[in-house]
Amino acid sequence: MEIDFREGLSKGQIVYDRLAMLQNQIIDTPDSSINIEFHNSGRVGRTFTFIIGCLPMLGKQHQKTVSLVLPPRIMTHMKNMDIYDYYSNPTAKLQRFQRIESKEELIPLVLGIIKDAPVTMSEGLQELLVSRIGEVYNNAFEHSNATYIIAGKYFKANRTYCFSVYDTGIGIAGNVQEFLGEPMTDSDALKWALKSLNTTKPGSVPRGLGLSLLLEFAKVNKGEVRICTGNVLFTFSKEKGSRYNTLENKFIGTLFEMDIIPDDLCIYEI
Amino acid sequence: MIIIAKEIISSGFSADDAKALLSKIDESLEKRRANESIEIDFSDVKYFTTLFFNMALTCHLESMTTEEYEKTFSLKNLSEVGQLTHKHSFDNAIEYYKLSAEDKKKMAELTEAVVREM
Repeated sequence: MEIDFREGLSKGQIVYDRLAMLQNQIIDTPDSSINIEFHNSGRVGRTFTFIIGCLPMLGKQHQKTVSLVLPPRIMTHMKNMDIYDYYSNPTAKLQRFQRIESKEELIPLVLGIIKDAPVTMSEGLQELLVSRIGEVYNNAFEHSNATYIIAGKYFKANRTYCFSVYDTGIGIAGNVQEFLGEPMTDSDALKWALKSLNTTKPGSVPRGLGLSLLLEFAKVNKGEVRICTGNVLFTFSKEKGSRYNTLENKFIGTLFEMDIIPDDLCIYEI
Repeated sequence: MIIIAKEIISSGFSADDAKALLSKIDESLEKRRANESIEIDFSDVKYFTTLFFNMALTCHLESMTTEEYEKTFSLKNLSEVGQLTHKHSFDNAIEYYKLSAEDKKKMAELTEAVVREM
């Protein structure tokens, strides 16, 4: 299958929607080999470069080979974000884009995120941030049954530092719907998951709370959190609060992103 | 009775960390004398998630009152982040175990209704 992708990749909800459409084309085609040529020559958001970089792994989960043909601007981002090296040199030990295969890799990975963050933090605050970011990875391992968990970290054009986690699992919304066993919108499912007591892991142990703590951390520390899963793009910041935007296309898996603002030299504890 | 956490785990991060500590805690609960407290020393253990405390410690609130829990477990040298995370897990577990089995079943439906009004 040949796909010519000519849509803009700059910013906004619409780009998440377009990339979700692309994910669905990969999954829905009966072809086992998909060649996607991107023709965009304008500005390209790093977030979207990260999602594009994850497409081959999404294809692999569905027993398909995805090849990307990229214009120079996206290729430059791919190289700067280690995505190009990830695919061209599988043995390379990369810092900015990697697949997480075991829980033992988590703490060194998250420590690397903190080390590169352009803010000054005490040891206690580093521990706090590592612990809160850990909630995201636990969510991917414990709740999504993901085959692939991919982590990325990068600076955006405005020098905001961002880390991203994408997993190819059922998605938070799909997981909640499956657990509750009744129809509900993806936005409602995500709202359910973000509440403190709620969890998709039944049993005698309370398993919720992790994601709500992370939002609290972002609120106090002026960060921004974005979660894209199913038909919903959730954004959260202290200034704008929680926003649930509906996507026309179903985003496959769960994308979690958190921005750390470099101008804030002080991070306050919750 | 003392458990030195760092002999078992280096972080309180994952479900595996929790299972390792829980195994030792359960063993100590069986062996202890009546009303003997279990001191868990977290010296040199860093990075804590709610998942860890939910699975290793506050799960005991299902069979203990909060007073029994506080008398039974003495958490020593727990970092500030660890204390904060444990408190979140503790408060969450109290609310969770307050619910009857039927209420737990209903909780999902009620929460959904509340969420729809948000």
